[in-house]
Order: sequence, then C-alpha cells, then structure tokens
Amino acid sequence: MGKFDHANWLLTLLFAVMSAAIVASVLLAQRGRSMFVRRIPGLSAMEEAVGRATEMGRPIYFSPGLGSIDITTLQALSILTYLVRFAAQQATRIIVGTADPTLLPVAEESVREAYTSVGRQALYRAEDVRFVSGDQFAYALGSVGIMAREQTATNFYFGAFFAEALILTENGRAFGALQVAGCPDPTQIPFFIATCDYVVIGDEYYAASAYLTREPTLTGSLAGQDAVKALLIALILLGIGTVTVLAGHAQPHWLAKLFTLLGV
Amino acid sequence: MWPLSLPLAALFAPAHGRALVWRIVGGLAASILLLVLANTVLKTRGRRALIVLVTFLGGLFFTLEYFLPVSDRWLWPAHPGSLVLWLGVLVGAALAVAGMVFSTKLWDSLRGKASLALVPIGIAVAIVAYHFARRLPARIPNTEGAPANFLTPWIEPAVIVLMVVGSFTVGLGVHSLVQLHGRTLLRRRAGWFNSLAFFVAMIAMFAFALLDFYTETPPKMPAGVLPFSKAMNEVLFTGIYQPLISATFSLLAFYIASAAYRAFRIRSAEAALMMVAAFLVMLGQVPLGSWLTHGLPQSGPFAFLSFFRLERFGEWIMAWWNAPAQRGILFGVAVGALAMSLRVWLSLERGTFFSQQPEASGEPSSAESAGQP
Repeated sequence: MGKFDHANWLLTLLFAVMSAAIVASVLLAQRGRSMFVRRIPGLSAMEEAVGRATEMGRPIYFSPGLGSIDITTLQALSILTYLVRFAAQQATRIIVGTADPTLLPVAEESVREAYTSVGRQALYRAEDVRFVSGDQFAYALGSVGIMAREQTATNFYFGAFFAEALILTENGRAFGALQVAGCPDPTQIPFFIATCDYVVIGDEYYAASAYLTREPTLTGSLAGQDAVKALLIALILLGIGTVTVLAGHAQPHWLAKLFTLLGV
Repeated sequence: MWPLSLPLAALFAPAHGRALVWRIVGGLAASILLLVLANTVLKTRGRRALIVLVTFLGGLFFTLEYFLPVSDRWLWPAHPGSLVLWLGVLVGAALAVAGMVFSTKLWDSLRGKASLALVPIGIAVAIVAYHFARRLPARIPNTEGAPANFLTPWIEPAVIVLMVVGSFTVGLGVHSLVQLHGRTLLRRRAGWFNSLAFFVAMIAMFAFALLDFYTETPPKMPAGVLPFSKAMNEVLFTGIYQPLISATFSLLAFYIASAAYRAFRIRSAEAALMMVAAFLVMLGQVPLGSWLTHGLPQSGPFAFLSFFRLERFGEWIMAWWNAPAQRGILFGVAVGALAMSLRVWLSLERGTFFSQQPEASGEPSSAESAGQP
C-alpha cells in the first residue's frame, strides 16, 4: 500500500468552512439574491473576437490546452460551450483541438449540446472537434497547422498550458489572428500577455463562466469565492500578527503553546 | 493481506495464463453490456442521473479518504466501534438534512424555524456515537506502517479503474484522427499528402514498435548490429521523432526573444516599470551586473549600500515583489478551483456542459452590459 497525503483536523475544518461558504452563496443566489460582477476586459472581448471571425467569414480555433479531464480543463470546456452557443447564433465555425483522448468525447458532447441548445444542430460538424496529438510539441505544431490551413480569424486558448504556449500564440499572431487566452498557471501568464490581445489571469479564469452566462449558480459561487478569499486574508493577517508577537519572546509564548496543544 | 481479502480489491490482483484471458473477456463483455444498457434502458434523464451519482460517489470517496483521520483506528470497518459510529453519523446527518429541508420549505412559519433544532440534535447524536465508538477495543488490519484510514487501501484499485476507463478513450483519439485524415485523403482535399504522411507514419510506428516488442535479440549478434525490427524502431523513434520534437522545442528560444521584445516596449508607465525591473533582475543574474556594483561597501558605516548590489537587489525584487504577487494569484486560483470542484461534484453546474439549467436563458450576455450589477 502506497503512502498518501492526508489532511490534519485544522485543514479539514478550513475546507469545511470554505466549502460551506461557497455552497451557501450558491443557494442564496439560486433563491434570487443578485450578485455584482465587476468588468473583466479579457472576457468582455470574447464577443468582439467571435464577431471579428463572423465579419471575416473565417473560423475560430479553440485550444483547451494539454490537460486531461481535470478542473482546469472543465472550466475551459465551460467557456467553450458559451463560445459555441454565441458563434452558432452567427453561423461561425469553431474548431476544437484536444491533446488528450479522454477529453475528446466530453468536448464533442459539450459542443454538440451547445449547438442544439441554440437550435443550430445542423451546423455541428463532427470533424471540428479533433484529437490532434497526445505529445506536447506535436500538439502545438498540429494546432499551428490547423490555424494555417483554416486561416482562423480568432484563436482562443483556455486551459492548462506549458512550454507549447508560446509556439501556439506566436504563430497565431504571425497569421494575424485575434487571440484571447486564459490560464491559471502564473508561469505561463507572462507569455500569453506578451503575445495575445486579451488575457484572463489568475482567478478571473474561474470567474469566466459566471461572467459570461450570469447564471445564478455561477455568480453565487463567485460571491462565495470572494467570501473565502476574505477569510484567507483574515487568516494571513492573524498569522502575521502571531509571528510578530512570538518573535520578541525567547521562551515559547502562550500562543505557541496553544498551537502545540491544538496539534497545528 | 487485508486489501486483497476484499472481493473488489482481489479483482485487481495480477493474473496470468487462462485466468488473465477470462478476465479480459469478462471485462470486455461487462463493459459492452453496461454500454448497451446505458444506451437502451436508460433514457436521457436516467443517464444524467447516473452521471450525477457516479460523479458524487467518486468525489465523495477521494474527499473522505483525504479528510478522514489516519490515526483513529476506530473508524475502520473491522473495528467493532465503527458500526456504532457510522450508524450515529448517518442518523445525525439524516436529522440535520431533514432539519435544513423542513426549515427551507417552511421558512416563514414558526414550525419551519423550530425544525432547525434538528440540526444540533443530529450533530449531538454524531458526537455521542464518536465518543462511544472510540472507547471500544481496537483490532484492525496491518497497514505496513503507512498513515492510512479505512479507505486508503482502495485508492490504488480506484486509480486502476480510472486508468482502464481512460485507456478506452485512446481508441477514440485514433478513430478521430483516422476519420479526419481518411476523409481528406479520399476526397483529395487540399493538403491530402499530409494525411497520407499521417497514415504512413502511424502504421510504420505501430508495426515496428509491435515487431520490436515481440522480437528477441539473438544472443550472438555482433556489436552495433540490431535485428531489423529493432533497428527500424530506433530509426523511427530515436532517429526521426525525437529530433523533430527537440527541434520544435528549440524554436522556443526564438519565440521567447520576439515575445520579450514586444513585452518590453515602453508604451505605458506600467510597461516602463516592468522593463526597468526586468533589466535589473537580468543584470543581477550575470557577472556583468555583479561587476558593475561590486564597489558598494559590505561593511562599515555605509554597509547599507550593499543592498543596492545588483545581485542582491534582483533577489529582493524576486522575493519581495514577484513571489507575493504570484502567491496572491495562486490563492485566487486555488479558491476558484475549489468552487469549480464543488459545483462539479455536487452537479450544481450541470447546465454548463450537457443540459440547460432551468433558469438559464442560454443567451449570452452582451459585452457592453457585462460590467453592470
């Protein structure tokens, strides 16, 4: 039997509180409580980006990154379904290239459902959701090939990206496409900022579906996230205060004794 | 071995010979039967309910395994106190849920508010069960010294199940590629020769890799000589595929240079600040930077000036400005991922992927009104 990480009681308590705050906020929003969502330029630009492709009569390329079916990629699919619904209303084609075969059937189903939901199922083409390659750089080159052959007017990059990000976006830029990217990984964000027209950074990535659809479940979840962030800031300030107080004492302070007693 | 004594865990024990063949045949038959049943007996709503149930149970398993205590052996099913504990937790949870449901439906009435009292009663029942259960004597299986709770031995079988399900989709990926390139080739669309190259490469790699796998190298082969299948596999993989991937990777150096040039063009105050910071950090990383500021004293009354030595100043920017900003982003990302996980786990977001939420219009909001409350 292998060794696996486990939570201590404090982490369990913290997760329980954070989860309860988010679920409660979702339930409140579903009951009709209105939530304010600030403007996020990168997400506001999505409709402009789709509109550009419509005006030029050229397709859109969407890359969900290298991730398998994980939370980052599910969020990318959530954004994709919104884009497909919007593009389908304007009869604009979206090509999706996946790097993970596990993702392919999920992406196909999401795209087909999105076309159906706006009554444009006739526009759905099975070959527009493709498995490109499971290899990182082969995927990047395959995607660049699609951009070149199909002359895409707009490229969207949402998901988990690594070293291939710059190959995708630099070539997309060279082809003259308008590019919108979103990635939760801070190490890739600078590359996207340098090469894309609009970038969604950090937790804006997870706010995207709420911002775009304004569905109560999602806006409620967003408000819950803010409450959790406020709690984390309070905990950080408490930690700073505790460390500052303890720093001046040679002997263990009563706070340190308390933490030892609590098993932290 | 305790995990292998469990019927499902025993199913994942290594098998050989005829047993292996029967397992493969049985597994395939069971998979096909399940797929047929899911597609014929279950209607759309039934399939969605199945997805919701499997998602919830899968998430519950991994969540409980992570959060349940590893030191308290009274949680293990083999412990006589565990039955008392889990019964207590179930009764407590049922009371708490009932209290919340009734109070929600009858919120405005006094009875509705009174039903909230069931919540603390439920919690109290669970706590009493907890204390009673942990007093009972422990007799649990050996876990080889690793921190574990009663779900930990099931982690490996669960991961194997996920891998098996995932491996089925590899065929879907190949099917997608064959369909796409086959159509291009048959209809002689523009660039059909690329599709031909795909088929040649795929068949050659597949065939020689299989041949290589099943061909044994003769014991008396001269040094530097390989059997044909092995040599071809080496040529295709090590001689062609890997250099192509390395060449692609090396392109990044040029792309980084061009992207950096664009990023550092001074178009605003923020861009200027970033350019200056990046310039100082880069200078601090190279000998020239150290040489430029090596004259600043490290001792004496002006020792504080050593802070401005470029190698130290660059580190200061990275540790005191860059790292906190990145951690701030990561905090937000982690909370966002938690919220998304909860929505997926509890199927709160099912409207986003496979079906419309009742309250969702499906109409995208306009960019202009996006910032309005």
